[in-house]
Amino acid sequence: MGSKLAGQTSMILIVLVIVIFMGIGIFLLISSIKPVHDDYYNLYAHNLLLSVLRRNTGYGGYCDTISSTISCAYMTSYRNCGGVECRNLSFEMVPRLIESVIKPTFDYCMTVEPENGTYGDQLVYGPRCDVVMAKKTMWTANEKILQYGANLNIKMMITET
Amino acid sequence: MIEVMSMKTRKGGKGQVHLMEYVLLSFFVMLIIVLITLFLTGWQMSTIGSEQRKVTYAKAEFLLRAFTNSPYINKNTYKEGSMLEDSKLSSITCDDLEKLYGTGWYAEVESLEFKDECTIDNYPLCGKWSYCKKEGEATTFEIPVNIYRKTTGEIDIGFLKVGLYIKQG
Repeated sequence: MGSKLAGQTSMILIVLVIVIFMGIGIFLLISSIKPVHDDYYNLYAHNLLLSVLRRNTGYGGYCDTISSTISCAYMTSYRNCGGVECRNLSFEMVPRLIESVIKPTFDYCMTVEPENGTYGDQLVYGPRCDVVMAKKTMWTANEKILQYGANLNIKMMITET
Repeated sequence: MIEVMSMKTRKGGKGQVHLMEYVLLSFFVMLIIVLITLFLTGWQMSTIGSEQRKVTYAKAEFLLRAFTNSPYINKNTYKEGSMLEDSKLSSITCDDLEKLYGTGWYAEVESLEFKDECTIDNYPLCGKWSYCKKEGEATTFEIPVNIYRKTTGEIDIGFLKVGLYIKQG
C-alpha cells in the first residue's frame, strides 16, 4: 500500500515538473519571439509628420506648405486659398497626402491644438482616430508650428491595423 | 510447503511491481531530460534569432538616421534633416556612401510623383535614386522624407528605403 502511494506521488511530481517546464518554455518562447521595434516606428512617425508638414501644396500665399495651411485653418480659417477656405482645404489635403505616404498596414490620427491647450478647438485629421486612440500600442511624434504669433502643437499617432 | 511456495510467489510479484515502477520512473526521468534539452536548444535558437533581428533593426535605424542627417545629401539650411536635395542625390555615388557607412546594404530614394530613375539626361525631371546594387536577400526599412528640388525650390515628398543583406551561416 505504502509503496503504491510512493509510486503515485513520484508520478504526480514528474507530471508536475513536465507541466511547469512546458509552461516556462512556452512563456519564454512567446516573449522572445514578440518583436519590439519601437525606435524604428518612432522614427517613422516623426518623419511622416515632418515630411507632410513641409510639403508644398501648390497654392502659395497663406497655404504655401501643409504647415502654413494648418496654421491658416486654425488661426485665420476665414481666409481663402485658391477659392477654398483654409480649414476646408486642410481637411481635404492633409488626409489625402498622409494616406498616399503611410504604409497600408498603419492607421493614423493627427491632432492640432494650441500650445497651452486652454482655448480653441482641436483639429483632428484621420478617418479612424477613434480606433487609433483606443489601441494600447501606438507611436507618436510631436512638432510645433509658430505662425501668427502663436504656437500650435501638432501630434501624429500611428498604430498597426 | 505450500505456504513457503505462496510466500515466494508473493515476493516475486512484489519484485516485479518494483521493477516496473523503476522502469517507468527511469522512462519519465529520461523524458524530462530530453524535454529540458529540447527546450533549452529551442530557446537558445529563438534568442539568437531575436538578437539577430535586434542587431538588424539597430543597423537599419543607424543607416536611416545617418542618411537623413548627412550633410552630403541634405539641404544645408534644414538642421532637423530629412530634406534630401535632388542635386546632391544625383552627384553622390555608391562608392562615396560605402566609404562612410561600410558595405552590406543598398539604398533607394523615390519621389511620390516622379518614378523615373535619375540620370544625367533626365535630371531634374526624375524622382528615383539608387545606391549600391541589390544582391541577394535583404531586409528593407522605409521612412518618408522630403526631396528638395533645387531648380524650382519646391519641396516634394518621397521615401528613403534601406536594405540590409542577411548573411547566411
